[in-house]
Amino acid sequence: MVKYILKRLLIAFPMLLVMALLTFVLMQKTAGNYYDLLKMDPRVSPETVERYVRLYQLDRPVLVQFLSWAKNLFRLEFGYSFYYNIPVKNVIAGRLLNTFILSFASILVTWLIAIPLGTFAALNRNRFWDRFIQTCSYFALSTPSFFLAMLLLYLGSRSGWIPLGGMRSAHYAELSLAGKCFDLLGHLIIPVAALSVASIGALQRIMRGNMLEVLGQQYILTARAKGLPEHRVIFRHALRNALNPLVTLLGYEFSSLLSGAALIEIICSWPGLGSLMLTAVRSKDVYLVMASFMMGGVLFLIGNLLADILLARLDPRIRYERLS
Amino acid sequence: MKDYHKSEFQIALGSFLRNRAAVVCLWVLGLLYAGAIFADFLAPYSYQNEDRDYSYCEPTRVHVRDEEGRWQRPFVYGMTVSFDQYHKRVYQEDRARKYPVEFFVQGDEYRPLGLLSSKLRLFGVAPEGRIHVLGADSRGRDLFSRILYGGRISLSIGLLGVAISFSIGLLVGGIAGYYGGRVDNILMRVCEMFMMVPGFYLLLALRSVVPANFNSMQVYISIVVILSFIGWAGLARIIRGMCLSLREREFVLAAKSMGVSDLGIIVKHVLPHTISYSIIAVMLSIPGYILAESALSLIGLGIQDPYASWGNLLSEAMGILQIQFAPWILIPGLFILVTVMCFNVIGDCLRDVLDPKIKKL
Amino acid sequence: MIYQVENLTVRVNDNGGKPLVNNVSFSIGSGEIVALVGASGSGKTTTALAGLGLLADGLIVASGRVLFEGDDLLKIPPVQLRRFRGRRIAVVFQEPLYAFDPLFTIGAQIDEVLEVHFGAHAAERKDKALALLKRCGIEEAERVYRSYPHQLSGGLRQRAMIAQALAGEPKLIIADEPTSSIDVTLQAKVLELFQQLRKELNLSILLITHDLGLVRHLADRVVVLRQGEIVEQGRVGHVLTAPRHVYTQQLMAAGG
Repeated sequence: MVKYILKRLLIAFPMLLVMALLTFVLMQKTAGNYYDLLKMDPRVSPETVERYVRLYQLDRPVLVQFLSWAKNLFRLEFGYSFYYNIPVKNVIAGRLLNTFILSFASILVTWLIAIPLGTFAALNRNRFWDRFIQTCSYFALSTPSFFLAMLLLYLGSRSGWIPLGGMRSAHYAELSLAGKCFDLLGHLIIPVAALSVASIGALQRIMRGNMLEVLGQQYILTARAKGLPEHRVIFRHALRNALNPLVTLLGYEFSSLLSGAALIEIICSWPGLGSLMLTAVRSKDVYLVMASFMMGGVLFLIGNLLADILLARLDPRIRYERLS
Repeated sequence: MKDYHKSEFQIALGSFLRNRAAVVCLWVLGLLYAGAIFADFLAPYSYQNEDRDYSYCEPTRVHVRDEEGRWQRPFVYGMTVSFDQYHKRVYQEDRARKYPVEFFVQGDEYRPLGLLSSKLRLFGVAPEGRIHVLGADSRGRDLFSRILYGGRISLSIGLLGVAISFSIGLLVGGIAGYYGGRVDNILMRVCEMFMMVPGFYLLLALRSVVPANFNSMQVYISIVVILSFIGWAGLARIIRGMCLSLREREFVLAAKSMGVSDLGIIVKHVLPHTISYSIIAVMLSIPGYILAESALSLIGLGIQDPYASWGNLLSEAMGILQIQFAPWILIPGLFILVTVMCFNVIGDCLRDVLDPKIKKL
Repeated sequence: MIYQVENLTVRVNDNGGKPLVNNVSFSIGSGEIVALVGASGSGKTTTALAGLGLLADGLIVASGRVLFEGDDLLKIPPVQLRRFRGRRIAVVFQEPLYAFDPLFTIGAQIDEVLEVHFGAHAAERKDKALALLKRCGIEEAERVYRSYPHQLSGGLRQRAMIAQALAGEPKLIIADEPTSSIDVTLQAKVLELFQQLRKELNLSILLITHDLGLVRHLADRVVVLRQGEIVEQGRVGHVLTAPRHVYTQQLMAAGG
């Protein structure tokens, strides 16, 4: 197991670094020398400039700069943000949490709706509700999430009930703990809805397919022949087998969610990693771009790894080798 | 062998055409592409034609009865703008100014194929009036016209991007699948690496690297290149899977024994069999490219003003104020939705038709 | 007679065509082993499972009765029918690898039967399950109990499946091709097991098979099916030595 994880890391990490190198070099060439920009900025004190010159070898050639940046990564030193005027890691930490909250909420909503929906559809195969759900899923699947976000913002602005954009209301600090929770949930509605709809459509279809396949298996017939009550056949045997292959999806979904969430964050003004990256790119804030990119990449990796580990743990066929 | 292929293809085509949804989607896509190609003719205005007096003007109502209720040729009224107490724009029809809708009029100039020059447009009104079928944007530019012109970029980027990704994927996948063993291993690791990086972040990172002084054409090409850079790996894996399974088939062994070179075998025998799956894979990935370009343009990193793409048309809708009072700005999004849906439906139908092994549940 | 099939006809739901099972009648006595033979697709499994309400989607019983200890199973509502399954009539399926749930241990799946039909506690269940496994000739009962289906050999799996069927203390076991998925040396063992069980428990067995050798060694009577219809039935000794119908002769010649 450990060997497996190491092997995966061994492949992925170098790739991230290669991509990072590409971005770094090209950015330096096009945006102008970071060192010069730093020196010229009146907001930055000379001591800070000196410190960064030493830390990141800013007066040396680009490749050397990159190597020292990479080295500093491991010490969790991400450099200095030109745009925000504070060290990058201070900017990133909060944003990371926010993106995480959004992604987590979205996955929760997606799975809590799609799994029962898919199961229900499979159990009522080809009858009215099943057909209805499938048609809706098709529309849901094809809807671009950013368009949905805008549409929801429009509808929200007409009704005036839902908070539009941002993560906290202006009077957040004055709210009670419960009030704060509700406020957060309220602000989550539109971005989570925009992110989840397409995933729900997709996941529902997969769940339904898996369920139908499982229901046709011999062991379901056996379970019924054993005299098990129907609810036990469905929920204990069928559902578990249908869910098993989906677990890998969980990890991949987390990863792809990061990408998708970035755009929604921007549209809904949700202060997360994605919108941070956009600001960084727009302002050519090199170290911020690099750090956001690496952070996104690492989270993506972790998501994938998690998926593989979960699959290995939950499927006894993979977990245990043949004994006899 | 050739005849067998032909009738197999014809059978598949027949099944496909019997599926009503797929045919409808084909027609819709056809209309959209035709709209983009003939945008010059179909659009009443060029994409740059602006009139600040009509900023955020709502869709123009076309009347067929005049003030006395008599039937008339279709016409529109001029609009005058005033501001209400919330400083919101309010447009009112000015009954004094009537402009009949003419067909085959002389409008803004354009150069079809870059050679000739023409001014002929399908419909329009006299220059003093404006006809905004779907409303106007912040600069008073006709949204309908810009949507038609925008289709050129949005719809072509998908095709171009996929074409490039597919070519790369085909080559890499074909080689990996055919040779197997270490070559396959190495190439697949490379693919995995590409697939391991989060798409959107990579998109942004690469985009940040494109120089600011690129002109629009160069930006367009850079975007296509970036999109292909991200997308080829998935296609390569699919192709490689197919090639691997085909490798051991008899006709490949037969060709080998006759001394055909490796590359020859790959190109002439292995690849044609992958066509059906390739078509499906391509169909289902085009939406991804369209969405990616739209996303980029939406946040201002894609196609820039004054050029139109459905994505950057939507960027105007990023502000809450605009959405609230000018909801027609969202219409380009509908076009994206419909296009994506059509490609998905067609791709799915193709899959049902060309791969009967997939159980239909 | 504890099990009587009378004029059973099974059709595909909206199809007006030929029924899958056409007017089949036979019976099984207490402690008797009756074999249902025929080629693939002759309707053997459908006939056997019709009584328990385990027909595939789209199949319905058009007419007939299936009597078990006096009750017509076809007239019993599904909820009550559940009490017969596993408890009074049990099924041993053909491919144990696919007939066991891959995500649960053998022990857990046998325990289920005990829990649902007898409401036994955890410890009781385990003891009973182990005893059942031993009874079926599995010496390393502890290990098999804790194993997952894919970890066992074909022979062990088949016997575990039989143990699972016995858990409900049924009067009748329907065995669908019990030896087709294991090799010859183990087939003899399974054969012995069935004979033992019949003797010790007075168990009735409905044996579905296309293997006439098995029929010869195990069954008392045989029913020959062809395309859903009975062509011949009678005591094994009589039918197999002097088959009257052409089809039976063909089956025997094919080496069954």
